[in-house]
Amino acid sequence: MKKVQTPGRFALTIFCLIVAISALAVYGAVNVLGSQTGKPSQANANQHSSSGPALNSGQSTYFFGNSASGTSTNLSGWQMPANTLVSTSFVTNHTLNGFLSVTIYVIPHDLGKNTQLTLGLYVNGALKSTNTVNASQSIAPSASMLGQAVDTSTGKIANFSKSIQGYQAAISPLSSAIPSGTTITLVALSNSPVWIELAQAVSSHSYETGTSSSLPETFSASVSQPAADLCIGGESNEA
Amino acid sequence: MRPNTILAAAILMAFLMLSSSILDVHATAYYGRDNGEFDTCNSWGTCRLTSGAISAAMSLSASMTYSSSGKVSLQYNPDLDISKYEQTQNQYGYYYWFQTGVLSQSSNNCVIFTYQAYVPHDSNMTPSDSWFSNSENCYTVSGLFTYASGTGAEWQIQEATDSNKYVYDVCFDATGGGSSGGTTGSICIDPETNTLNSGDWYWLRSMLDLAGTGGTNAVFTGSTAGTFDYVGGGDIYGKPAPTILFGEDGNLYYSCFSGNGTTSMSQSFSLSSSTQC
Repeated sequence: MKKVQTPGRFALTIFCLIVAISALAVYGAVNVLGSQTGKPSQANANQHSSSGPALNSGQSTYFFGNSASGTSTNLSGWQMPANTLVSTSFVTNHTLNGFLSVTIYVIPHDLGKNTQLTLGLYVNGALKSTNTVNASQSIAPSASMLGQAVDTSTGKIANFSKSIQGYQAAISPLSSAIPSGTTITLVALSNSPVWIELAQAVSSHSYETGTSSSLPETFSASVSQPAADLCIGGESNEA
Repeated sequence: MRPNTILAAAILMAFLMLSSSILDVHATAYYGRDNGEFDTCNSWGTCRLTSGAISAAMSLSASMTYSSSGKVSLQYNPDLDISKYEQTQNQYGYYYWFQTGVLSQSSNNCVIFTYQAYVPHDSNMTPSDSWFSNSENCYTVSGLFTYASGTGAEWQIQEATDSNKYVYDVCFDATGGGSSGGTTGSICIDPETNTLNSGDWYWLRSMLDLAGTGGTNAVFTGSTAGTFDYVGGGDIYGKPAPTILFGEDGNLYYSCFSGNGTTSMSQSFSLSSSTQC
């Protein structure tokens, strides 16, 4: 019978060292790989790693539009008629980068069960983005009408307790920058009357531009009548 | 000792080293002044919120003061690490990070609400989408940083999801403390705006934090203290602090959660290290 040769003590020590070094190498690789792929390791769990995005406070954002006052104790709203195209246009004075969003503010009062609001975002008259929402599903608390609605030359206007729901139409990301001097238009259309927050600092007026059940592919305000001035806000990156 | 025994011991040791490094990969406690996270399940990872809402509110038990310049923020931030695997992606396959926040400035009692979406892969870190309430014009709220007459200021963010687990509405409000505190009322925004991916962001395991803005940490001073309250339609569970923090931090300590695993969870915060969980 052939005798099995046992390894010498020196060879055994070398072998154990190789196993230990290999284990340490794999240990290190796992940790490096973990940190690179986002798998947290115990080592970096103990560190204050502030590598996440910062919360922009608005310095790098370009704003345009009609804003509401921040000091009022209530909101003013205009009742947008059903199946009527209501438009507000702005000419930008800054290049738009990254994304473009435009927001309209609905006052959640007497919305009914299925109020469909459709928004169209137009760039120089061409429809670029749409967004249809069921405004009845808003979680915003219902706003109370304060006093009576008043009939004006542009329609009904009323004051409400402070509760609003914003909806947006957007292009994100922008495939290319939009140059300064471009006309950006938000067109709103609803299947039932809906109250829209009024602006208190107005840079552009709002218009009713005819009845319709859908948004046109191209928009022109050539046939229109004044509506109340609506609170409409636009945003984009400055650079 | 026989050579085979030595060899087996070496292999066993190597295995133990490997398994401990692979399996023990996440924080199991709070670290320093990092707050813990909240989720809709008690398991590892995250459970997306389905057809519900979780509101997270700060209320002051002592007036808030700070020495840092500009605005401070209340941030409702999804876990950045989990977002890498669970959040929707842009057209290039890079994940979004969707956050909401309250931006407040004490010098003029100014408050602005915001949501912001980033693609952390982008080195310049400009938002890929954002919204600021009223085009960044302040809402002025009397008592925004005040605790007086038994009433503290409250700042609140509520995020609601639809049946597809996407955030479809975010509501904010701020109310001043004291007997004559003002209010913004409820201001909500539907963030579904991104045309390439339907503008949908999942609700993921999140953290509430009082911090600075624009990459600057907040330095709170005086006796600044208060409570965070988390309220959901279903049970909410506290979890350890995230391993990757955000662009800003603060110097407050946060307590452990009480009411863990119920529909109403809370914790306190202060500048005292004895508050730390």
